[in-house]
Order: sequence, then C-alpha cells, then structure tokens
Amino acid sequence: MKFLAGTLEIAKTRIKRGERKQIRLQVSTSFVSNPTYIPITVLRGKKMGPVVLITAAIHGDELNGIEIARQLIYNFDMSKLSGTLICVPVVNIYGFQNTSRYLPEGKDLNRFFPGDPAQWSQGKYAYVIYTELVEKSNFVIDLHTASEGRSNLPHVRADMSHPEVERIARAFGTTVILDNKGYKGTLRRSATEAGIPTIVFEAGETRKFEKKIAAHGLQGVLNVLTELEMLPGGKYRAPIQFVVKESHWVRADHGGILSFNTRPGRLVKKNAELATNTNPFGFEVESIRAPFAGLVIGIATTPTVTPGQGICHLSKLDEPIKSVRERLMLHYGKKRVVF
Amino acid sequence: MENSIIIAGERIAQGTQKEVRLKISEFYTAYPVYIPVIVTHGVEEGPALFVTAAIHGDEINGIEIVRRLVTKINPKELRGTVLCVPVVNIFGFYTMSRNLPDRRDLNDAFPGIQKGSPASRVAYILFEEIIKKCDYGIDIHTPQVKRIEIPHTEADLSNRDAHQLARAFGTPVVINTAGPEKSLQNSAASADIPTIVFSGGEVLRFHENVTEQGVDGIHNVLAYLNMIEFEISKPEYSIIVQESRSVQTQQGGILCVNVNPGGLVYQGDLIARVTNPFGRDVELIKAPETGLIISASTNPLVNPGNEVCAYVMLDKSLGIVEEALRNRKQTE
Repeated sequence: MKFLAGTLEIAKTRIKRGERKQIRLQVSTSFVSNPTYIPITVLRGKKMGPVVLITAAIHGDELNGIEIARQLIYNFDMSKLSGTLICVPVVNIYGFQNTSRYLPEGKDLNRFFPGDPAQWSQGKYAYVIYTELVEKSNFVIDLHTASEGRSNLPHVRADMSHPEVERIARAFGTTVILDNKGYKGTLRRSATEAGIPTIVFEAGETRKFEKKIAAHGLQGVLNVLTELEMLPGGKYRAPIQFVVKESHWVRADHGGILSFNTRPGRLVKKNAELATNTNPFGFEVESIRAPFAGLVIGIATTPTVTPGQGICHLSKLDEPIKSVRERLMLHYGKKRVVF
Repeated sequence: MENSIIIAGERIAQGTQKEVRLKISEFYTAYPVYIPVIVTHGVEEGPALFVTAAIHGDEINGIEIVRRLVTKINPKELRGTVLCVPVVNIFGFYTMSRNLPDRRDLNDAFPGIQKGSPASRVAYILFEEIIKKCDYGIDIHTPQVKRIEIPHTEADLSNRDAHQLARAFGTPVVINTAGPEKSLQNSAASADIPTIVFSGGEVLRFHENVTEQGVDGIHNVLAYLNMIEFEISKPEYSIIVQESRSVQTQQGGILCVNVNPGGLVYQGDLIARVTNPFGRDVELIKAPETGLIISASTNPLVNPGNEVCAYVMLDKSLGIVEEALRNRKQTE
C-alpha cells in the first residue's frame, strides 16, 4: 500500500507529520447564512502508515460513536502512532442538533454517497464529506447504532468478498460479522466500491451513551489500528467469530403491547418464545416464536407494535446452538454473546 | 342478487351506494383499524374505477375531492362501479404525517406482501380488496411538504389506456412518468390496471382550484369511460412534460420566492432572493430559461441545494400558454 508521504490538507489546513490539529470543515450554510462547520481532529504520527478515517453520527441520533471517537482521541499518545487518524465525531451536524436521524429535508444522508455538487442539499453535503475526508483515507470505520426503537448486539457489517475489508472486519474483533454490501448510497458501500475498504460498527440504541458499548467499540477501533501496524502491540484475534450471511426480522402478526423474552446476544432454539403480544386488558394476543434456531442480533425496544412490525432480528448460524453455547462458556464463561 | 359485488365482506347491490369499513391493520390496543370505502355500484354493467387518496397521510386534498364526488355520482345513473378510498394511510392521517408509524412510505410498498412489514401488509390488503377488483384507477396526491404545485396528472404515456385517461382528465399539464417502482400507480399498471396520479396544491391544505379540477377531472374520466353522461371539459392549454428542471439555492439563508405554480417566467427574471437576518441579499436567483413554473418552495429556511422551483421549458407552446393566461386574466 502506498502511504501518504507529503502534506495532508483538509479544509485548506495543512497537517504535517507529528502534528495534532483541530479543524473546522464547512459542510453547508445555515438558514441565517452562516457557514455550518463540523469538528475534525487529525492525528498525524511521525512514522509513516495508513490514513484511517473514523466517522460517527452520520445519523444524527446515533450517539454511541461520538463517545467512542472522543475516548479514542482523548490523551492519545502521538509518539506511538504510525500513519494518520482522522476523527469525525459528528458527520450529520444538523441531525445531531435536533437529535434526529435525518438532514433538515427529512433525507437520510447515508443514502447519498459519494455525493454530487450539482445535486440537492443532501448530495452537496455528502460530496463535501466524501471528497474532503473519505477520498484522502486508506480505510474507514463508520460508527452506528440501531435505528430508533431498536437495539443492536455490537457487530460489524462488511462486504467480506473484499480481502482488505475482511481483514479489518475480522480485526475489529466482534463475535458477529454481518456479510453484505450495504444499501446503495451508504458511505460504506460507496467507499468500498471506490477501493477504500470500509466497515460499519453497529451497536446499541439511539440517543444514548452506553458505557459498555463505547468501551467495546473503542477496543475494536484500537484492534484495527494494531492490525494495520499503526499502533504497536500484538494483533488480536477473537476466539469465536461468526460471519453471518443470512438474517431475518421476526415480525408481529397483530397489533398489541409486547413483553420480550429475549435480548441481543441470546442464542435461541427453534420455536423458542421471543415475545408475548398482549392487549391492554392483559390478555395474550399472540406468542411470537423463533422460526429457526439462531442468534439474536437486534431487538425492538418500543413495546407497542402494529401488524408486520419487526420485533427481533435473528441470524442463522452454521453451527448447532448447543456447540456455540459450549464454546462461549469455554472462552468467555458466558452463555450469550456480549461483543 | 347476481350482479351485486362484495367488498370487505359486505354485499353491495346494483344501483346502490354503500359505505363499508375495510380492516387494514391493528392498533397497539389490539383493536382493528378500519379505513372507509365508499362503493357506488351502478345499475348497469360497466368498468370499475378506483379513486384512492392520502396514501401519504398529510396529502389530504383527495379527501375533499372524494367527498364532493360521491355526493354527485348517482348509482341509478351509473354504468359500472366506483370504489373511493379517501384515506388509505389512516395512521399518517391521524398524526398529520406522510408515513406510517415506523417512518416507512406506504407508496413504496405496493403491491404488498401478506406477511411482510407493516407497510407491505397495508398495501397488500388494499391491493387485494380494492385495486385488483378494478379496471382503471386514479390516485390523488399533493407534493411533499414545503412545496406548492400546479394541479396536474401523472401518467405513463407509453401505455395507451393511461394516456387516454390522462387526456380525458383534462389538466393543462400532464407529466409523463410511470411512477416510482413499488408505488400504487406503477404496481397497478403492472397488474394491467391503468392508473394515473392527480396531484396539486400542498400538504395539509384544501385549495379550491385543486379540488375543483380534481372533481371535474374524475367526472371527465367517468364520461370518457362511458360510465356517466357528462360533457367532457377541455383544458385551457395542453402541455406534456417529459422532464422538469429544477432551480436551487447556492447559499443558505432566508428565501423569498417571487413565482407561483402555473405562472410563466422569462429568462433572466428574478425568481427569488436569499437574504440573511441582517436584511442583506446573499443571493439573487434568476430564471435560467423561459418556462412554465410547475412547483415552488413554500419554505423560507434554506440550505445550499434546496429547491426554489421546478419549471418546464416551452418551445412551440409558449405562445399558446401566453394566450391562455391572457384570456384567463380577461375573464377574471
């Protein structure tokens, strides 16, 4: 891989080797005609190495990644770094200020990459992020949470057919890797297709800082930096790792109020009860059961449902549940997946 | 009762009009959710036409159009059947919002899946119970929030029947589009039910000129299909839009738009200005070409890249539109 040797320039600011800089990047203009900036921290080691971009809050209500980015750059020891770390804790600043997933027009920024300067406001916004940050990087880690009303088991999403994507996806170290290309227009898919290996870390819920998830996420990012030899130390390999190709949302058939019998990380047998759907008189409307044996990677957190609403994201495993459980007990001393 | 029809389990005899409730979903309370369907079953045989509205819960203009329509159609003088569904997305209607409670767009879920997502299930029931029983369809919309639009029809003009329906409807502007994939218009057409969209006005408003054109247009279609006796009215002018162009802001600020849907702009005219809160202009937006305004922004708060207006270029038809607008002014 060819590493960046000369000067790195972001938002017309030059960052030399061995420098740590805080930069404001103009992404748009506000309603009061003031420029809208997002904060960026660039850490450039003295020694050569790849450029890694960490992005969070492309969906403005997905906050866990912001805390991961903060912990990563807080008290960072520059002397140990080879290569460059570009840290963007808040990509969608408008959504972030409104605690909303979207940009002002109700549009999902993560459907408009790589962006287009001649396009609508969301296309322009994506274009600035893509040309100023993504195209200057060798690898990207994009931090997400589940969408509103859902919670995810910490896992990585990656296109495993791409060897360099597979390398950083495995290095991150989650037990579960969802193998898919991602929707068209996502940062992950656009960057990966342009030859910049990108993975997504999906963990927890919107509008929360979840301490354990931030700790796991931070460890995952550090694992990737070690794998890329940007930080010294032994490379980490998760003792148990599943690459999941097939997963399904189990849906409610009736309107009602749910009480859950499972949570992310649990292994469930076929026909195990995932939730009971009741009405306000306290009577059971339906019992929602697992259509196949698998691992729960996502769950609804809002108890009110209408017919067809997804209540449990269940992934298929190649291995029998019993043997997975035994291996988890052996390595982690727990019957369920934590990270 | 040989020629009666059954909708949502209810039998409707020939020559009668009946309101039926169609179960479309369930509430969190586990109670059923119904949508109203007004069935007008004519005395004589003839085609069946559906009129749907508020697939987007905040696009309510169709509710008023249907209300006026059903009072005017006499089942004793009707050949065929008219199925009117004034509020398809009842969830969005209650909350005055476009989408379903899980933020999904119902018009991106047709023809639906029986055991699919909430949107797919609603779409499936509507499609099975109403749409498939019809020969033709009209789906009523408005533009999305923060926009006002000229009343117009949208049709796939490569389909002969859809072309004829749009022409009969009689709006001056017809946009040639098959509609997005998985929209009702597109899915119904795929099931061999030619369907057009009537759209205009803005969300959460009744505009009298839109309502009138909608009611007249549906009467024109019914007359074209030989379902009623009615003198088809001709539009003031007739333009087919293959592609509309968009004017956008380059700066953020406070937008003041000088044009209205249905009006003409000439190249170089001042369309809009963007100011800052100190009252200074930050951008003057001029018409890049001469054309007819199709839609305009009603939103004063803009970022770079927001749409100011959309227009269609006029070549030979410029003179005809100019004359029609002059005539309208004189009669007013």
